[in-house]
Amino acid sequence: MAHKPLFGDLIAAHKGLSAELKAVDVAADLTLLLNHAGLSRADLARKLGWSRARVSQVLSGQDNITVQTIATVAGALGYTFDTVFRKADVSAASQPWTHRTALTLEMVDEPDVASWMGRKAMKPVQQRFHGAREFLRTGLTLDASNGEYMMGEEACAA
Amino acid sequence: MSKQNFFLTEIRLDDFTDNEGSSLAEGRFRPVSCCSDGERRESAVIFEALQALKANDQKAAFKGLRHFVKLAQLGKPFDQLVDKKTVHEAFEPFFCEVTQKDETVWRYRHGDIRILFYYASGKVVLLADALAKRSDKLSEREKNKAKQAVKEFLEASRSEGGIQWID
Repeated sequence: MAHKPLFGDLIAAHKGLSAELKAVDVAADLTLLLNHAGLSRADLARKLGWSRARVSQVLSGQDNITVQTIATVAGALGYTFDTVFRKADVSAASQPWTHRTALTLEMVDEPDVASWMGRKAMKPVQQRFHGAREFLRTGLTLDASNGEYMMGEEACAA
Repeated sequence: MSKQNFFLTEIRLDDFTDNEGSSLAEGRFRPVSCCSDGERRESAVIFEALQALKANDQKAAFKGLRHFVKLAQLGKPFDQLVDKKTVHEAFEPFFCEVTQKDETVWRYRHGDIRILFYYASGKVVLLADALAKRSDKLSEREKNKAKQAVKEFLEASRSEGGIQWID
């Protein structure tokens, strides 16, 4: 059954809010890109010659930031961007950090909680990705740029 | 031990409009809200909290919550992604009888909107409350409400009836 948006009706009652939420998404995506690039807000401020307060404001999701600002921030992080349109029911394009997220190695559940949640996704990562260690011996590189040991999509599929 | 049902629902990106195609990252933090009615997601605490806000506050709250849920997709603690002014401990950790240790309620700030939350096991983030505040100071009532939400969640997670998820 299709997932009914919990807040759909309430949001629809606010004229223009749907578009404003897109601006929030852009700010959040820039925050995630910053993290993906392994830089801090202070690093970004230095690169751009901005104050830290300005970086915080841009990334806060409270402003309607301009396309120029998006390009400036993305460029400082070593990225560019395109405008990709899709039908609302089509999956969103993946982001640079998307395939990494599933492999964040911080999922150690307490046994009692794991039992009541009973979800496959809650199994410890070592169990789910036990093959990961083998890649060390095959010469593939593990990416630890963000301080966590993660691998790319190809490694996971293998 | 209580057998009373405790209902939880995850607040997802596709709970907002126009995002049916949003994919959910497997390693994400799951922002969840408890529901009083197992048949109605609209009985979620977070839904009722937002519904009760005045128009402008409600609009701001949706933006804040959307931002929060987006950041949750990365699966990293929020304080690693945003500055301390945005995410910090809401008040001093409190002793919880259920876990027999200190527990912490966190606060996420988005303009005048405050979202109080608790990191549970299994990458679950319990949304304890959402408020419109003109100052940072939380009243005792607001603190107690958040503590109670955490306590009830932890009790349910250890109870015979456990927790039931609503999709």
